Amino acid sequence: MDRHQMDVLEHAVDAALSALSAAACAGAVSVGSSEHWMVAVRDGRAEQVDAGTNRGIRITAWTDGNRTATVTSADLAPAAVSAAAARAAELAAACDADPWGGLAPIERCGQAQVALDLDDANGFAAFSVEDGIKRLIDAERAARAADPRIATIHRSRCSSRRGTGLFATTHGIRQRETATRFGLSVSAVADAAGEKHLGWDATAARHLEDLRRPDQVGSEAGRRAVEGYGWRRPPTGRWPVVFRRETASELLDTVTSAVWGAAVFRGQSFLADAVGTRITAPAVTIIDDPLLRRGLGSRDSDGEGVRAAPLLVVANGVLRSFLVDGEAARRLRHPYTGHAGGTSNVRLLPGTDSLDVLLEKLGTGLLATRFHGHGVDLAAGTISKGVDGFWVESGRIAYPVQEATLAGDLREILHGIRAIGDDPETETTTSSPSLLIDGCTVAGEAGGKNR
Amino acid sequence: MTPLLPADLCHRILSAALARGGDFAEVFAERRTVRSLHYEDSRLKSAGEHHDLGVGIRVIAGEATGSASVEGLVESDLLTAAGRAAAIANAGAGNPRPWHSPILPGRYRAESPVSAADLPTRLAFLRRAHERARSADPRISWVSASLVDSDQAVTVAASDGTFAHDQRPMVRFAVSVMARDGTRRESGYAGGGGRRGLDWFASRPPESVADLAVRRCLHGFSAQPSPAGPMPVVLAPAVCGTLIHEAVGHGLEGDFARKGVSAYAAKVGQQVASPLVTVIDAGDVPGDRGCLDLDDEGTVPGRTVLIERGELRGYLHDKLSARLMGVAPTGNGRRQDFRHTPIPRMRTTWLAAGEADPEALFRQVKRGLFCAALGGGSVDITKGDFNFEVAEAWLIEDGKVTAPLRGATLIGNGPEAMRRVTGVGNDLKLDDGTWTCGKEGQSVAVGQGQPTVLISELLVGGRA
Repeated sequence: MDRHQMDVLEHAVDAALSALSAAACAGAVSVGSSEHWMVAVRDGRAEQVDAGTNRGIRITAWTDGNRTATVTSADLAPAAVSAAAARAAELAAACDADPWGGLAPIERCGQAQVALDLDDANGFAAFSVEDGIKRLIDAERAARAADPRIATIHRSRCSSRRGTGLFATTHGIRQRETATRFGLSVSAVADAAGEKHLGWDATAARHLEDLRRPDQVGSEAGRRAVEGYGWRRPPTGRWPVVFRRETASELLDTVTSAVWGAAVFRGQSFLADAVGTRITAPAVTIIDDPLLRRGLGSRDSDGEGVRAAPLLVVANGVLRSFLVDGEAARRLRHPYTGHAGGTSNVRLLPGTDSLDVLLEKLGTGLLATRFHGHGVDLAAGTISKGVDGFWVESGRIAYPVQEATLAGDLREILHGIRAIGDDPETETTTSSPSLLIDGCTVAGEAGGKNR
Repeated sequence: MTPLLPADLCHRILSAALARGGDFAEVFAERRTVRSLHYEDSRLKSAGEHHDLGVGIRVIAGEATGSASVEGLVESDLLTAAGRAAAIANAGAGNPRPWHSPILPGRYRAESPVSAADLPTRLAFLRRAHERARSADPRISWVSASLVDSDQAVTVAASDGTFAHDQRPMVRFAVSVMARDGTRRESGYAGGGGRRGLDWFASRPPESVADLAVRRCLHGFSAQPSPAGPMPVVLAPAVCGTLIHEAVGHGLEGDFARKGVSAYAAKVGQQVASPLVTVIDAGDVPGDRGCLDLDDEGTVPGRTVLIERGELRGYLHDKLSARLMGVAPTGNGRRQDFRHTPIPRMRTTWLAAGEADPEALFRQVKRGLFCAALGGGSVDITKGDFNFEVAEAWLIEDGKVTAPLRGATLIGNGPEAMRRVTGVGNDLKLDDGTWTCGKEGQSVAVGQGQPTVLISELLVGGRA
């Protein structure tokens, strides 16, 4: 971000704040600008190169009685920003008073004083489209080398982005953050015996040096593309299931959605009354840590300017806190947790069992490696999804499983966590190790036996 | 309609974009205004307005695409972006062809656009829906309703001579309700809209949207867990068109077909479905979310027959996939906004009417599932496996719809499920729901529909 671009952002913030004040409104302004490129390679050549800038401003006005409106615009010229702020004030006046609205209390606001190290300026400057193409050619080659059945590469992409955001309020908060993000992904297609399978892998990081090697990503994508051959449908019935870390992390996402403040005060969650009660097996502890160094979800404050701090969400199975923004905090009379805009880095703390040990403890049942579809009813507390994976007999993988479903009651599933793996994902914002769980119904073949 | 960029400026940008050669260059300028009202907890809780303006420029050389986007319409910024897009090519400079502008069919000229309605008019729709849902049942504990309308103006200029403009309205009205009965909670959603004006609310009153959301919500209290395993499935007309979108539509998008990554690739002329199955994708259904006078590449969309009596007839193409596969573009080149490049996308997709009496289809089922409404779905286009959440499910026993069910999921393999279509009703209906399709990180509005359909066997996910 050069000096001139930074000035454009600062001037836009100034124009918005003074227009809000002129309209006798409180308000918050966030303005951002980023540069990025993305390159896609197919069969050893660049298939697509996208380059661009992104910029925009978001102005939220609060007027008498906390009536509110929001205006966004891609035009950062001061005159346009002033007009947008005036429009936000005008729209706000037309809304109803809201006892739960308003800016976050000033004493909650500010930036956590921790070096998050989210900006790899040197990496961004040094990393060129040509470098990206080279990496993707390596990744593609490794994917093809992984197995002779790999027929083509559906998509391989590499991207680089650096952006700066400013956040300011009429009650005196003004802060800035610059961050980078790099990514590389490969999806390989295997074609054999009249059936095609897709295998995908990706790496993402704040710092270029933290990306996994392209050949590792490529060969993993290739390996996953062929692992489903010889698949069968599993026997239908109630079976224990090992959620491998990918599907376990999706389950963890479901838990964070269910303790989300807005879902709680709307009554749209089966955990709406559950603070202080046991919601999972006692071995489970879940945190959300916005201050992880170089974390993909890290931040020093939330979308309302509330200072970020690590939060204990579930301690030894007991729900300790909802995840709230300002409105939810006020409605639920809940302490501020800094969750305006979403979660940061959610972690279910790992146990000590390797995946092999989890499979031994499983005995006979399903190893779930991939979910398909949404299939979560948060209000009722049920889950019902398509699932891929492997059938396990006496602790050993017997055959790949596809065209299967997994369903259950989320309360039963969370209480049914019987063992926790030692293998958390490292490159996702929500991360769980593999989990061994009782209480799911698996469906595949007709007339399977129950256990 | 005045173009967002004058013709002479478009010509200068295209010349800059073709400075290093290339087969094709394009300028896409877009201005979008979105207005939203959110009514919740018995108050107009928030209002919003969103303004976007910018240009996407791309250059195609062989199979490779270079693109760049920039906010605003400043000439020097546009020429810089053209230079970045041009870097993909490496040959002698080219020139744009003389302009030719298509005549637009005028498929969504609303008599009274929602964008011109004043706040009290809009607010009244929200209050009506809110009041209706609140008073529908004592178990309803929370209601929210939203009204969003947008105007999107686009100008497309391309080196093949295309110079065209379109102004697209869209309205979206949705109601979401929560209910509580003792310790049990349920939720329900319903919505509708399209490229329509205020008159749409006369045919689809806000109360009817609220009623549907309430019905789907309360359904859960009386429902028992869905059975699990393979069984026959009857899918309701209109709203279950998601089946065709996922199980067939995505696999027939030209980019997937061209790259050989779809289960339907290289199968034109082959029998890929039951002879009862005819599938159409069209951009010409007036007022529908998938309706377009012009796609995002300046092609006037028509009607594309994808499958006719079970035989695969063709794919959905943008200009790139059409050229590489040696066919004409079908008007399916769509993009989320100027920051994304166009790719082949569906518009309004449906399964054509059959001849069966819908009641007779139920009578063929001894024990199975009736899907009164499907929720979201997705598909792995490579193997062809799809899945859906069932928003409202019922048990069929001895040909009759009996008990309400909860927590059902449908999964299957697209080509296999289409071969198992053993009954197609004569009651084709398009749905006016708020369907949005996601692909490669881009969301676009689509429409869908179907008659009552019987599939002899699908895998149902459930707990009983």
